[in-house]
Amino acid sequence: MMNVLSRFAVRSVLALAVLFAAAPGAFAEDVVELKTGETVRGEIVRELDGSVWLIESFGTVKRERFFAASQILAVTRDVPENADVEEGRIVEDETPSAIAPPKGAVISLEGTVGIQMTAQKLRDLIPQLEKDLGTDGTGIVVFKINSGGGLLLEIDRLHKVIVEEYKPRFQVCSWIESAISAAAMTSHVIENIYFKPEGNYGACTGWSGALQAVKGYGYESVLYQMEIASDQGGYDQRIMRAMQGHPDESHFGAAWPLSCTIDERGNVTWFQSADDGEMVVNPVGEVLTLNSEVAKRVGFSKGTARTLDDLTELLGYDEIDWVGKSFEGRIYPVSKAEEEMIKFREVVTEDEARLGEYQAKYNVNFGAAQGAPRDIRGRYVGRARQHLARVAAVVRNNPNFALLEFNTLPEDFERDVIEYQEGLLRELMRAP
Amino acid sequence: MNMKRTLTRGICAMAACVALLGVAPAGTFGVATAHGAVVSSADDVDRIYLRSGRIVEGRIIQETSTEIRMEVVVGGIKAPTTYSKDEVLRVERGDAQESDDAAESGESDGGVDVDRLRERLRGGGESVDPSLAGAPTVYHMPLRGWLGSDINTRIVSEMLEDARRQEPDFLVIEIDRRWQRSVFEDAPDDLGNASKFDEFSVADEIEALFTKEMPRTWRKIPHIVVWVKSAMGGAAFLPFVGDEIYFHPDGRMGGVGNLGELFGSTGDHVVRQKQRSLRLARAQGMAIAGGYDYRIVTAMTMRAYELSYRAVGGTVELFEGVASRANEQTLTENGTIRENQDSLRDVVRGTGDDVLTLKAETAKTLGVSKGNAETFNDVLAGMGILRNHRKLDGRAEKIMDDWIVQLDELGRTMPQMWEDYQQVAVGRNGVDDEREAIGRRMRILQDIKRLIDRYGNALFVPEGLFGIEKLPPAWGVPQPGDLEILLEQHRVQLMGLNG
Repeated sequence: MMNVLSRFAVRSVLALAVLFAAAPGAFAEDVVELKTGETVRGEIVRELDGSVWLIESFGTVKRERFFAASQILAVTRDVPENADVEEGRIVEDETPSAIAPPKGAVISLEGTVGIQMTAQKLRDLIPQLEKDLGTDGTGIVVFKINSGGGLLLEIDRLHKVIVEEYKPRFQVCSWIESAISAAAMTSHVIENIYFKPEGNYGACTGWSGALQAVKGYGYESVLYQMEIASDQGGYDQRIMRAMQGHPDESHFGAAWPLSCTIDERGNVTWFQSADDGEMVVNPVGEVLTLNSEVAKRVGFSKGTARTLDDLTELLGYDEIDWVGKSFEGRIYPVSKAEEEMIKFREVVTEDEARLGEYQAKYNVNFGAAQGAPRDIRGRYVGRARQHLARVAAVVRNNPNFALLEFNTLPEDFERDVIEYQEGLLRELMRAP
Repeated sequence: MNMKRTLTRGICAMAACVALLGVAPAGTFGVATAHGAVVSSADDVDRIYLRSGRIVEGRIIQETSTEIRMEVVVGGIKAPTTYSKDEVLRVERGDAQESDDAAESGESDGGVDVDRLRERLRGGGESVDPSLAGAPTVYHMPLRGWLGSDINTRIVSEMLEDARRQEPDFLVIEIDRRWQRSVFEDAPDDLGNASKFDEFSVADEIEALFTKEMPRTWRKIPHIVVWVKSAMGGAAFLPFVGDEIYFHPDGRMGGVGNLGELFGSTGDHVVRQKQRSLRLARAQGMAIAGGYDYRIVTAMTMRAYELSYRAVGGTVELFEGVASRANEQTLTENGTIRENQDSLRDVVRGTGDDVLTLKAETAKTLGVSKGNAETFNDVLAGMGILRNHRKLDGRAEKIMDDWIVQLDELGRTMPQMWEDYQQVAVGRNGVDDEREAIGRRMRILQDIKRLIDRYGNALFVPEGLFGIEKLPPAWGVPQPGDLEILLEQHRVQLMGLNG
């Protein structure tokens, strides 16, 4: 499987091929395979002792990248633009089947991670997205993120669904309006991150209750989890660490300071200190949240896009066929999958707001049934059952409520909560 | 420095045009120049006659041997378009260029143009010709009073809805937030730990009405102008929604310098820092989205932050740190260091530099403000449309006034309704009376619910560590979720009485 970046590049090259169709064969390109598994295509413009400078093309945009010899697995030259390579060998010679622009869909990830933003829902959307974007791997899924964070427990599930199920099927990128805490940690496995001008990303400190930090084993395990995520997304691990902070105040003021130096080619070298780099990105004593300007300056963000047209251009295309219905004033067309996502959020938000009320109403009726004479007890029990059914439906729609509201594992919820309460209601009905 | 707009040329051009042309004849369109000024005479407009027969009017901003790039502005929205010379039959140039050039050479003087213009126009009074059918339209939106209770999403939504129906070209938001230490005394710029960064959430919600709702629901997006009288506390973030900002000579924008102290000593340091960091980035994002330098927000909110500027050529450049050269000026010093801390003398006089409070002159110097405006007409003059605009007959003033009356009324009605509820005697004179009493109680609860639904989040005030919004505790009324449970309890009671 090619990674996201190289697929973007391939599509761009295909688009160029269309423009210059009269000169077939003119689009041989060089392919650099990196030890990380990434494959980069373009034109090698300079070489020195095994290190190469390569110009990548994204639509009309060109970008020069440098790869040190130590990073490179193999270099293959003059590869036909639609062929694939494997460790320096040309293994395939595909002919582009269509010249139409790629299809894309925007999926909004909003609300609380684990409540309105769940791995299960993302998984549920895949069949619809495949229907709309195709199954040839050229479809683009943009996760437009606006979330203040949420449950740590959901992050791993989201990583799995993004890495194992989305990335193999689609070109995936994030478009950040606000990705705080668990939302930023979710997006961190995605290689291509773009910001909206107002965008922010970071503040990934785990905590609970009255601002109590996650400490000890829990802290270390989240740190480790995010090291893996950083590698999957292609980010220096020090960045996420600066976003997570340190529970011990004696550790640089509860921080992982961060600085960087950016060379004339735009290559960024990161330092886990405030002194070693030329630019202080996170000072001692602080937790890092990037804004769109700093994110772009340090190369964390691939660019800032106010509109979908801006994003299309940044992705390297003149045109993307964004599927869905357009509404006047809406900044992106709403695809069927997105419509489903919006509906899910609405239901879960209502559930979240009213779950406490459903439980309280159940208790009111249960209490009334306990004190009621047998001849009218059924009315209360019936009403209690209605409220219990609502509670059950809420948890079925989002099993995380089982943990949050009932301190029960989702898989045990039906047995430990619903069936148990139904048993009590049956007993009540049998009682004299 | 990332400045919002190139100030000088635009205002100079406008100044020259307005001064020279006076009131435009009825029926002429106000066409904005490339610099945002409005030209009020047809003679100022460049015209391109296309081979297709179409005539395009606007302002030529660039011309090469093969192309002409023209900017047409209608209702404040700029639309640059490039025409191939192959398409062009003839080009007719207006005299705006000359006007601009004249203004630039004769009038430009470091951004004092609006003030000069005001002097020039003084005595002109409110002489706006309402019959200017083609003139740009202006909707005035005053936001006055306390942030949250008086200035809130409900009020702003209602005003915006009124404005949307009228499709103004310009929306002028006047921000005059009450900023008082007591009933008798204005508050200083910097309230130290008692500053009001925590009101950011109110501003955040209001901002979304402009940046998210407006693009979704408006057919034509107006050019938004913010007139800062008192943008203090959370209101300090609102001006960033503006395409341009003007300051009242006594205007100020700040009062949010306690972000670094938010949450006090509650919990762990790293979590407090997380909470501060995310809030700062969100606030910075508002500035960036509006086209302003985010470091201004950092200086307004973080006491430890040092920000200065230096004059470079004809402009200024922000930099982190304190001034050390003749052409540099410190805006804020690290106010967490004892020897830097503002004295009471500084605080009272508003001369401190622990945190940034933008005043008219500094805002203008930094390019945040386009000029000083003492009156609404000064704002219009600054925009270049004083003599060529049509002020829409908006309901905004009435909406604001009505809301203040309604809120006052609700502050009395709600506690009274709750007291009435509690005084309904239940269970004294038999089943029918009891049923009747429960019914009355339920009706009162339903009435309270209806009022809450009607006024929505405008009734809620932030409570506790995270500012969870609740009905004002002084009302004594149960929170909405509790009202539902009370109603359920009454339903259960009724079921018990119904045999």
